[in-house]
Amino acid sequence: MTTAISVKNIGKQYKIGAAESKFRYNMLRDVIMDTVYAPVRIAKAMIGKSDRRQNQNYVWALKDVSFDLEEGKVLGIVGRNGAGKSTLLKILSRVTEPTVGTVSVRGRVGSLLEVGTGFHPELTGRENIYMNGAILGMRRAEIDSKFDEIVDFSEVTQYIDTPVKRYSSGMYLRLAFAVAAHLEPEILVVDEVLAVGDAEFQKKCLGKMGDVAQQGRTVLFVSHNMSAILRLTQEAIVLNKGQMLMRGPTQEAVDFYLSSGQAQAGERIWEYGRCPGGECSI
Amino acid sequence: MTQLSKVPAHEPTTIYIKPSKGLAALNLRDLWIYRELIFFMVWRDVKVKYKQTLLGMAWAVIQPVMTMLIFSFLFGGVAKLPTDGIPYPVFAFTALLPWGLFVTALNQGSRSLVAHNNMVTKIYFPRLILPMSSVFAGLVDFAIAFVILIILMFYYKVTPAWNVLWTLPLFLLLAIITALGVALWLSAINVQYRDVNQALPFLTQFWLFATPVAYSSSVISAKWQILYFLNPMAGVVNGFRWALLGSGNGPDVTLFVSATISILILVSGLFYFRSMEKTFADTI
Repeated sequence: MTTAISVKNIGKQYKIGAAESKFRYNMLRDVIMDTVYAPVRIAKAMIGKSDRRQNQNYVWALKDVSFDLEEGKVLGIVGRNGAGKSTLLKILSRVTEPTVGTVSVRGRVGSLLEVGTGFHPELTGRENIYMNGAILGMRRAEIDSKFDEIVDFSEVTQYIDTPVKRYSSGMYLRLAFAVAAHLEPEILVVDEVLAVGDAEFQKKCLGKMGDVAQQGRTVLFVSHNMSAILRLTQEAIVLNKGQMLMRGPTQEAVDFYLSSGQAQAGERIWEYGRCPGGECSI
Repeated sequence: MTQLSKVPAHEPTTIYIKPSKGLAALNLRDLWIYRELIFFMVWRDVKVKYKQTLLGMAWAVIQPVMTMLIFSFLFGGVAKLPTDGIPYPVFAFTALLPWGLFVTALNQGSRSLVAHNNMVTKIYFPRLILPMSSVFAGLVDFAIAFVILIILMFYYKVTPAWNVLWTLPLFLLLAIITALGVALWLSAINVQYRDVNQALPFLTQFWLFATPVAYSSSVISAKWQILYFLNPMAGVVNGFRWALLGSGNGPDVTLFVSATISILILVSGLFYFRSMEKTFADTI
């Protein structure tokens, strides 16, 4: 098996906002003042009185994360809000650069970081499918060939030539997910997009994700929905405060995550008769 | 969902992601791969611009025509500015074409990254596409207004020299270079400093006065000419007038100065944009 994704010691540092760093706004005026005072600051740093502010304003959203993922595997990522899941996916999909570390990615990465990106309210459903498809990296011919399938999947056939600003929010999201779900990159990065539409549609989404996984694509899947993680992935990693706590079979990773008290509102929903591992004790 | 669609047959390429240092390469290959997105963005800009308007695309004509009428009344009729013997309406409208293109780039282009911040923070694509497509969308309005210019030229019986066929495209290219260069600089700065938004109305107005749109550049005294043509739009507008109306002396040292500045702005803009690009998603 070849390695699809290889992550080596990546870290991402973010600046904390203005609230922490009293009265410092990002304005041209400040930059000019900073430039004027730069020699003073440098001189201070040189004699050892380094500016403390420098270290206080930064936080590591992701630190020292390494893992390899083989082609065709589906990896779940779990962790609390702010654990660094989205930052990791953003780095893998090249939206932002890591501060340190390297990643090598083999193949085209399609990201479903948020559905409906680039949707314009004034455009019709049809126009938005093409627009959104292009934004997600699909060729026009590719969209042409999948157009009917996308429309069918979204269940908005009747309104396809209506501006999407007239859509109900459910219709809007269904259409957006439908376009995204028909992307066919070698590596798919999915962040919490299954909370879309009604129960019926969610089921369809899960089915679609399952199909994608079976087609031999490499998938990275982030969700707070533990039953979705358990159903779609064989392996998972647990992130906490930017660090990778463990990697293992999904069942173990989820148990670890839920039992380590990180999940504040731990919730496990098994559909009737579909509990994983056959350990239905309830 | 029925058939198993296959993974593309070509050998996947490996991408290395690491913190970039120093000057980033231009990465024109990625731009080429995403060329269809440029087309779609331009198409969307044009399509959305006149949606839910009564007059629709007619606005592309009304705006320059109204400006031309006001200029004709004030500067042609009341102030009687010299126009090198060309009827004032044609004289002004010829300049308003490249100027309109430039203003679109200045306003739409500068805001393009911030306006599409949801795309910038969620999806990878060459960010150059955003200011580029704003500038190209301006070309559609340009083309529509150009039809009006042809009508005006017929009406006032102004015939261009035969060489307009190659001089005009060259000056149009120079206009695009200038517009794109300025849009690259301002859009990248705007990501971090929204001061750009505040400065734009003033900047647009100031730049209009500094450009020979309402008047002829011949009113500038000889010793200030070189300094005056440091404004790249002055060269563009004069070039348009020379190519279409035969006014002025044609390409000379002043055009060289303007064109050099245009190219400098574009090249430096490209490098500045590329060097800032990696921080866009974090700072926007």
